Amino acid sequence: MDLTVNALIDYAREKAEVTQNQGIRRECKRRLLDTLACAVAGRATPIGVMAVVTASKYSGQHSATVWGTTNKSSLEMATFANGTLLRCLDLSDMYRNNCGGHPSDVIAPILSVAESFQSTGKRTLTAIEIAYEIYCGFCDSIDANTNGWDQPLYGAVAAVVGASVLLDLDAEQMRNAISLALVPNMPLYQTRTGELSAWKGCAAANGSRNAVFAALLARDGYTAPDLPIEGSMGLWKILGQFKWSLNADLERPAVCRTHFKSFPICYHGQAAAWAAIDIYENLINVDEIEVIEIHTYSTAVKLMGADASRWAPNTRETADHSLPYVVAVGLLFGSLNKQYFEGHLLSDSRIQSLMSKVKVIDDPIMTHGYPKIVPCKLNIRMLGGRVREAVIQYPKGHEKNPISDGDLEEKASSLFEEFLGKKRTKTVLEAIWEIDQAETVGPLIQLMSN
Amino acid sequence: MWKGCAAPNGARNGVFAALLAEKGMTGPENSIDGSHGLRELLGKFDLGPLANKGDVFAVENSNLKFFLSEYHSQSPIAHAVELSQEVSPEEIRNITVHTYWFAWSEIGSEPEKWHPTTRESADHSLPFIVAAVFRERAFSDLIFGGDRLNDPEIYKLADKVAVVEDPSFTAMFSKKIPCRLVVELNDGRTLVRESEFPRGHICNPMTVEEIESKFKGLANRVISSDKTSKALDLLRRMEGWSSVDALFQVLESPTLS
Repeated sequence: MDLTVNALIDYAREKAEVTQNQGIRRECKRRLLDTLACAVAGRATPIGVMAVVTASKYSGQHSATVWGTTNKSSLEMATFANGTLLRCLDLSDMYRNNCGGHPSDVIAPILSVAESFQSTGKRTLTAIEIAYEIYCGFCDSIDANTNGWDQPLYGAVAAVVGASVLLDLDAEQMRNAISLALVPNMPLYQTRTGELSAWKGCAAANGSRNAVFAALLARDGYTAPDLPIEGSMGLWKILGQFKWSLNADLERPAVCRTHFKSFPICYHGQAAAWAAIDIYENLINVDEIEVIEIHTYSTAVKLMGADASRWAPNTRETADHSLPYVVAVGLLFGSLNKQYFEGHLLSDSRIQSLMSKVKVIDDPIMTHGYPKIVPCKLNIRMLGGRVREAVIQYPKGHEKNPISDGDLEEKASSLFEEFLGKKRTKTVLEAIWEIDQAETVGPLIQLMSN
Repeated sequence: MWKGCAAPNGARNGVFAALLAEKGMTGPENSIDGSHGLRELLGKFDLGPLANKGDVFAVENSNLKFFLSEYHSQSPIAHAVELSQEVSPEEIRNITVHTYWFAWSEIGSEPEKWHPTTRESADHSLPFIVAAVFRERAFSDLIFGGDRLNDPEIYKLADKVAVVEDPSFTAMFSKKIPCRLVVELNDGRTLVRESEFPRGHICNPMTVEEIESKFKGLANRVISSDKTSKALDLLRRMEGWSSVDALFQVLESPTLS
């Protein structure tokens, strides 16, 4: 008997039977809103286009909509496309403890399954809460990433349990589904190592695709390898023994604790971006800047300021993972919307001149406080020795500096409006806030179709 | 059940990867040599040289199964079929299968291998298989199902079967797949059959006729013999095909849809 798998099943089946707490339900909706906005706007990116085109080649008896389009695809391929779309802009939510990732990845498989199997809005929100708890609970338990394993390992398990709830699988089917999502899908961390490829944003979607496949197999009666976690060749053999943390905070489950991003850049640059905008708003003359010191924690330095490529980004993917670029843009324009990561700005001489003045400093005290705190201090020396400084401990959207519903709507609207127009965006927002009243989620998805 | 599905699932993901790459998807760099790549997990390894024109290709080197049974039971089954033509079950005092350690441990050591109760254990039970062949004087995979699992005559014969690891065989394995079947009769005679490679092994290859006959036997379970002949005819001329559609039209089976 695999006690860890049993614990996941017991947790999910219990949760699925109780009425969701209102406050928690609101947090699920906030994440649904944020995620769908990211996905719809993601459609315009090259990878988003590729995902939509690829999915349109497939069909199936179980089908689902590719978000933002009128295309239907097989449930699995729609899940893949939707999972890719929501990650294209690098603007979806984030969680990190022993390891981390983007828990909103689970929304693609859950909403796609919900559409295909006509789940109610309430059931869908509950499935989101359950999947978040499993995703973040794993991140609380053990560091899989430095051992060489990538996010879809736990993303697929979270997704398959959420999907199983929507498919009303019994305990035995759910046991098979979890095993079938985990055992064949061990993704290498190489996806996030070295020069990054398009797969960076698709890896989680692929885990979700395989999770949906696993749930459907289990529903059809497939039996799966026994003891997928605790068996002699199971997950424990690879990662060592660990307890999968669940229900660590009953008042505030994981879905209340993930961090929203404000800017379409790596999470570890969010504080630096806010600090730069803070200084911009105090009317600094950038021509008088002599030196820009960015003090931050070592993870941020490693991911966004470790080598010369971050001072001369050639691609969008490198620019949005570059502290010098992000701070230079913030100081120059007071904003970091996605248009600042487009081709022509990458070679803008004003940005390059500011980047050349940037020093990135690994601050041991900040590193010690991470990941509880995700701080950044900008220290700018001006001509004549004047100094400007801005410190951000928790960027807006962090659990400790929550983004208001209004600000979240503003972020979402700016993403939706380009594709849906103002009027339809307003209707979509209303439909999301009222999704718990909906008999099915299909109408919401159709509202986003263009 | 996943045992037989895991490889097809890998193939499913392989096809998906090829189709993504065709659409222009870029994948992680250095998936084998990178700091979180395959070598990091498995340790250093080198791929052997890939075959060139004139060399032996891997596709020529894989072993076919002759009987619809577990690989290590292939030679014991062949010898049992031969010897069962010469003796009747009542004449048998005992049967000894001499084999290598791996076969002994996988299909010939645990007590359940003598009296299996499920299909999955029956087809991994050497004493049961050998006993059933002597009882039926032939082999077919029908012995793994239905009333054969409750046949007292098979169980009586199975009790006369011993499986013995021969250290010299263990030393030869897996270069060779040796087997010796020894049957002692009530009248004192001893019959022996021995081989180093089962039929279908590359060192004891199946003829084209044998492979065709295997194909017919299996295909006839789901399609008519007329369609089976058509399919065989097509397969013989495969190098001339412009697409594979014709074959699958012939192989369509109404009973399976």
